[in-house]
Amino acid sequence: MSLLRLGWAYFTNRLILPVAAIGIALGVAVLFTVLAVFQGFLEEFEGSIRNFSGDVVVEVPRLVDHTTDQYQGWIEDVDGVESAYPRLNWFGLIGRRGSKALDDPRSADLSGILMLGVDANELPISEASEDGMLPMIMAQALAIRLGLEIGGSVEIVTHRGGGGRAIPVRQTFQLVDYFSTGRFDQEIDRVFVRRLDLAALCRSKPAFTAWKVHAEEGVDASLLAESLRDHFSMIPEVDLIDQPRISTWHDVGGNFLRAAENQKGILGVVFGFIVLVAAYQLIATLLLTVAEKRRDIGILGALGASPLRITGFFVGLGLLISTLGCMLGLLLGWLLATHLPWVESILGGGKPIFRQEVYKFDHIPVAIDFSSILVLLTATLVTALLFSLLPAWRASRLRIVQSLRRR
Amino acid sequence: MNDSQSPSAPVLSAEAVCKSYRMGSGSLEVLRGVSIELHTGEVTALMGSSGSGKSTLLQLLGLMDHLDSGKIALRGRPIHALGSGAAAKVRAQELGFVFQQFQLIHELSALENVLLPRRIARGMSWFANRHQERRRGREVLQEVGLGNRTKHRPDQLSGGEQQRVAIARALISAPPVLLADEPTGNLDRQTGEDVLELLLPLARERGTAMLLATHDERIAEACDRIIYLEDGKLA
Repeated sequence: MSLLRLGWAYFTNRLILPVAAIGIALGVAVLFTVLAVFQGFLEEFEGSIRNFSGDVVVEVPRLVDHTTDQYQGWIEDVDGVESAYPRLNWFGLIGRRGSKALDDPRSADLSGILMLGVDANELPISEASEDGMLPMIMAQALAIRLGLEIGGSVEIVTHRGGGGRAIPVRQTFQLVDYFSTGRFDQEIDRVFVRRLDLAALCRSKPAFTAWKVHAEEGVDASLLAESLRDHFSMIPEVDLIDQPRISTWHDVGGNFLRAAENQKGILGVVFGFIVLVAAYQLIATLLLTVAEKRRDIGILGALGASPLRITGFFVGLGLLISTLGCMLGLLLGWLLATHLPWVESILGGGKPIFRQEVYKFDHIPVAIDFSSILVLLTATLVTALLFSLLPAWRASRLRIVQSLRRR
Repeated sequence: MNDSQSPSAPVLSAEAVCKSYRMGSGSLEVLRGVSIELHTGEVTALMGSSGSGKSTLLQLLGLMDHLDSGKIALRGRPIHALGSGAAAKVRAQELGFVFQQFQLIHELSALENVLLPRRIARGMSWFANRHQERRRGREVLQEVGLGNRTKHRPDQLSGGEQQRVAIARALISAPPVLLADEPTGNLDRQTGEDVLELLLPLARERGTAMLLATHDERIAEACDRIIYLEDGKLA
């Protein structure tokens, strides 16, 4: 450590050493950014699923005539349940009012839509201003696609439930408000309506197809799902004919979430190689420094530095370079991660590179996960330490007399 | 041995030191049974022509190289067979060196060069004592007439000034033994004399046992005694 002053003097006087630090900084910055984007993507994806579907989803398998209160009681009896909201999910086709396609459902002018019937305690939906219309909330992306504004109306073609032959029904809805989740895939094919309106339209019994369950603070969704399964399995068959399907938010995210998690890991490894290459560059730089500073190593030896001390000096120099590289990399990575829209506009010449149709979000999500950053820094510094050992060992092996002869 | 006997015990002594170097399939004998004693406060000139083995002897006495046979003792303690770590400790604490080529580190200022042996010797305790050490470094530079050049780098100093920095570096740890290998060999005559006028009194004042290798008679005459090395043996 006391020779750190000499290491710093080398660093500030020899361009090759800051260049090595910049190499490490670039690797760290890229990895930081990639990890931040993937973490942001995963966190927002998780947030949007939990917000949209709850921590646990209880899907009612068959249209059996349970009352809402009865089902709610079963769910809320379980420890760890904070709240449970009934939902009636119903598929339909949506089209602009007056569209000829409404008479011919095979037309491409219609879009498939999932109607989510919700209660006011989950999402208040105000009354429609025109008689004969039911209120509806949709995302702006869908409204733009349909050419709708607040107060405008759309028609939905769906079918009545109750078993037997499906009977088509058609209903006019008025757009009363917008919702936003930030996720394009959720916004483009879903609308919210009042559950009881939808139940009456579709004659669905019971008036729910699923329950959105929120866990209490600190309760793990998987454990809660397990408790719910146990609880439902203990309800006598007389009361509950079919067991519900119970999934966590993670199950709802399904393959997409797992793919994103895998991709984060794979990209972490791939971009980790950039750091490895930078660390490899550190070996080359330190070996060159040992060759160029052979006389100085001789001086240090003559003045009383032991081979171990010289090893320590070069390992310290490697750590100095990598620490400065890491610090610069973190700063660069943070700047990149927090200014991604600007970076995107530069790279794309003003056009978006990350299209929301593909990446689902209408923005680039970023979340800085400090545990990942800590792992990144530790891995970089340990790699630098290991990669400094060879040059340091070679420096310590130099003979003082021969080294001092070098001019 | 052309060595006058001194009543006091030697600080550094060498006995029957031999050293040879491999030269292709054969070997070149550089030192052949050299014995020498250095005493406190005494400046000894080691004279000999180029290739006579002066530098090799200094390197062996300074534990910078291994001898083939013989003994070296510091204050009666054998040091010729020490391991690299222990030998480094002896160099750091008990030996000072002045080289013909100055051997300063170009990235460091004069003061930092002077403090380098202290940083090495102190290790981690350097930080606790750094203010005191810096003050000492400035004092030593003042003693060699470079009190106003502490922040200058070697390439901003003349040859004579660089050698003064090297002398200050050699003396800062107040070593009992100072080994100087042609300290004026790289300087013009006048500058060389100036450097010697500085070095010799400083060594004597401090009671340092000094061995000064030179091939210049005038320089040797300024020393307390002279020993001659010829063909690897003391004449």
